[in-house]
Amino acid sequence: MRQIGVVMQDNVVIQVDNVNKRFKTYETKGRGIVASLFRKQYFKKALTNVSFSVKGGELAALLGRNGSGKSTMIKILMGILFPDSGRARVLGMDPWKDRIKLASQIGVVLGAHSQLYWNLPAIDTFEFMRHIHHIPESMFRKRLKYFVKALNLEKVYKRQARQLSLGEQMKCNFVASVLHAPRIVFLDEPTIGVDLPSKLALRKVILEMQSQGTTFVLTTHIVEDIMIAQRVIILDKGRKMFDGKREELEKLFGDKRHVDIFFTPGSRINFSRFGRILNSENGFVRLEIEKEGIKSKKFMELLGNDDILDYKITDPGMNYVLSKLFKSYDRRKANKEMD
Amino acid sequence: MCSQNCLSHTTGEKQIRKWIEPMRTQFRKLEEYYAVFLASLKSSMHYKTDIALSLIFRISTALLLIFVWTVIFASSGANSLNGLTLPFVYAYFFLVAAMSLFISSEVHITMQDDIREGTIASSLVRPVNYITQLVLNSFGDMFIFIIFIGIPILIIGLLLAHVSVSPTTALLFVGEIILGNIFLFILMFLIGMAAIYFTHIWGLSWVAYAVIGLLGGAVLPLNFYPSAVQNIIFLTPMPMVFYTPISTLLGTISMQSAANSMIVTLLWIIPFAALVSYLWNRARKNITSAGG
Amino acid sequence: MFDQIKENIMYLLISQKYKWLSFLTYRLQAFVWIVASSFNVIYPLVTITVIYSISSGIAGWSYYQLIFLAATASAAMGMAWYFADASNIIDGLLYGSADKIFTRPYGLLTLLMVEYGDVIAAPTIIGAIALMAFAALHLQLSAQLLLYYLVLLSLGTIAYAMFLLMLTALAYKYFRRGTFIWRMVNFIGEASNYPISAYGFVVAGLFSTVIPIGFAYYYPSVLLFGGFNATLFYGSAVFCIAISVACYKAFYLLMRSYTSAKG
Repeated sequence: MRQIGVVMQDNVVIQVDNVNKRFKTYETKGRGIVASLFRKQYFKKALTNVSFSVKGGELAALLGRNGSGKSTMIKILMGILFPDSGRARVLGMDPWKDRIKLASQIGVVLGAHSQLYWNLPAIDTFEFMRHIHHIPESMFRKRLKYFVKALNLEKVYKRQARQLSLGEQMKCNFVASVLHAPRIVFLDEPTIGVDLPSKLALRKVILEMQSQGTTFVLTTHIVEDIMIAQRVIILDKGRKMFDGKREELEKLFGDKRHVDIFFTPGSRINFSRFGRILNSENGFVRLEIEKEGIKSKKFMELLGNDDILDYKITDPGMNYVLSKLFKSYDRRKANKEMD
Repeated sequence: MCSQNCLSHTTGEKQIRKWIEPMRTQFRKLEEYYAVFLASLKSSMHYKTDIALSLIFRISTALLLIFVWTVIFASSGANSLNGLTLPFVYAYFFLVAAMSLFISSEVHITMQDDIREGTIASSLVRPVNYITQLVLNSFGDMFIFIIFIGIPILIIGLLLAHVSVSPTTALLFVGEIILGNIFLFILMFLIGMAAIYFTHIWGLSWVAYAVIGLLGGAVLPLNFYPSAVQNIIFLTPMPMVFYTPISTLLGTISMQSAANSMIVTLLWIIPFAALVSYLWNRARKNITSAGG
Repeated sequence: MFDQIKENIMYLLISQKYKWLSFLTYRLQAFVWIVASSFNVIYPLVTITVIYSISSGIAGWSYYQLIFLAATASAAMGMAWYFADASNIIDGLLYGSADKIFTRPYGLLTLLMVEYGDVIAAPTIIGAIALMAFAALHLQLSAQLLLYYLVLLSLGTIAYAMFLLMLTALAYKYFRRGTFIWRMVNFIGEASNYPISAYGFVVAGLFSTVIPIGFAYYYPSVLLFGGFNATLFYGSAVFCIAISVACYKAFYLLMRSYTSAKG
């Protein structure tokens, strides 16, 4: 398979410079065609002066809430949308103009839309992909064997796609998108609704592919998903808020954990002994504690207390991360759950 | 609190209470029905331009047929064909356009969506019976269409044929429409139930529409078919959907034939309804026991 | 350039295999669909037969000629439907499911045609051809005129398909809804059972210009039955090509507004 495209200086494969993108949206009073002719037009700025670069073999995570522009950004890189101003270059090429040329070099996994033919077993879709991308037979067999084993698809890939669980579908969708050994793989919210074992299996495969030089760009609003990324780029309301190594980000929200505790109302437990109280109501308290604190004997005893009815431990979530990044955020917003 | 003069302990009051309670529950039922009806009415109101478009296209199709039939009559130099004169043919197709609004009942679509998305489970436990919900919903949808499209087209059609309608005819017409729509509803409901077993029922509903169109008199007035074919068609309830009501209104069918048609339709509806009822109860058990 | 065209054709052909496999997975449903699709041909057959049994039909057209005409229309519209199903396309664009195909190495038009073309159009096309063959047996058709007929039929069908695609992109960009498209297609389907000369000047004009369906079924048939007319043939051919190119360009221009489902 011919390799085309240019790797730029410093092994940069994706270069985004001052990209701006806005969308025309409409406010229509009432519905129907006549109403839509008399609607109010206004512009929604999806991306404002976003710049970043990704090096070959890196795994970059585009993190952000819904509406942050991350999907728009990745679609620009996929060549589905084009920027109003600024440049996006993938392997030295304009993804919009050279979409067809680039297609053989990139793989795309859209969490919301599967490439699988519903009525057919996944293997049929794989064969279809083989034809589309002109994958040589031997390479196809080899890669298929690898993925089936690595992602536990033995019993799955010959069954009708419609009957598969969400996790199985996602894994098959992933395979279909990377069979042609692309140099860059874009994943747009791939883990929505997927069970944990499938997520873990996928992570392992991604890491292995990375070690062979494949670059990954992943968008997500789930903070936990960035654990395999080296680079994290956070977007909010169309602007870049953070661009750096994952470890730097972790230092920012300091490896904290949030614990939601439901307890018998009127209990005498003094929760502030165990961590910082973020939110409290009758019978409910949300604590912020250090990651190591979760394992402490003190904490274990708390959870074993008779007054504790139920508890949930989560990572702080997107809002929390953002609030750490911008002191101006409302306390209220920081304590709300993820969109 | 009851004072000494309070009447609530008298048996008279108790009797009246016994009367009022059941009426109250019925009243509540009616309120619920009204709520469902109103809701679907409101959602149809949003699609004012859809209504306008629907009107334009239906009238356009009717106009096309007017052109064609004018040419056909002119080519033959005939005044009437199989008993229908040209003005009546015009009127016929206009009335078909008006009545085709009933046939666009979306019962089966609603059911398919409900079954696909599992919302049927919650619909089944609502206080209002699922079937009643469907009926009210489709009625609410149709109501607007009937008022803004059906009646104007109907009037145009009647004017074209210079037909005046007597009260008896009008009454008969309404009766026939009701019968025809009951049959249609049952048929569409059956198709909707197929959504439990098929993933898509579009094919089935398309076939149903096509057959109803051909045999029900929507594509051509049944007068034009060879009499042998007509005899067979009249053994089915199909004509009641378009042909019989329209012909009653236009006066091109005898009272006797109309009455016969109604009886035949009724004879079909009763066993059909029983069958559907039985199948539906069985299906309901399956849906609720499967747990969505 | 030709390599790309070859690639596109190969992609088109390969996808047919999988689309049909997918369609035939559920036998009973597939059968029902096939029956339903055949009604597109049964309708004109029944209608025209009945008309000619009670009258002398439409002046200037014999029974078999009219059957041939209506069948031609069904075949042309069926072809457009098989490759350029407007309703499917606009649904895909509106729900963003078109995103997943844009990263395949083929042109935009090819991608949409392949992904959203409807295999259920096939029984309509086959039925229409069968009907044409049936009518042809009773007609004295000259091979030479048949050739002109086929050429114009092809050009007209392409023009009509391009027109539909452009309309789809238009509906997407300006209205974000596609309901009026299938209403219009139904309307055209009804109208194309009969010669456009039966309709008034306005409608006939409409179908000979803005909506190029007339060139897909009526004018080819006129040539076939009425004898060769150079102005008609070459004029129509040029017009069809012009419309196809114009709609093609307009389509691409309008599609630049594709924003994908989420803003």
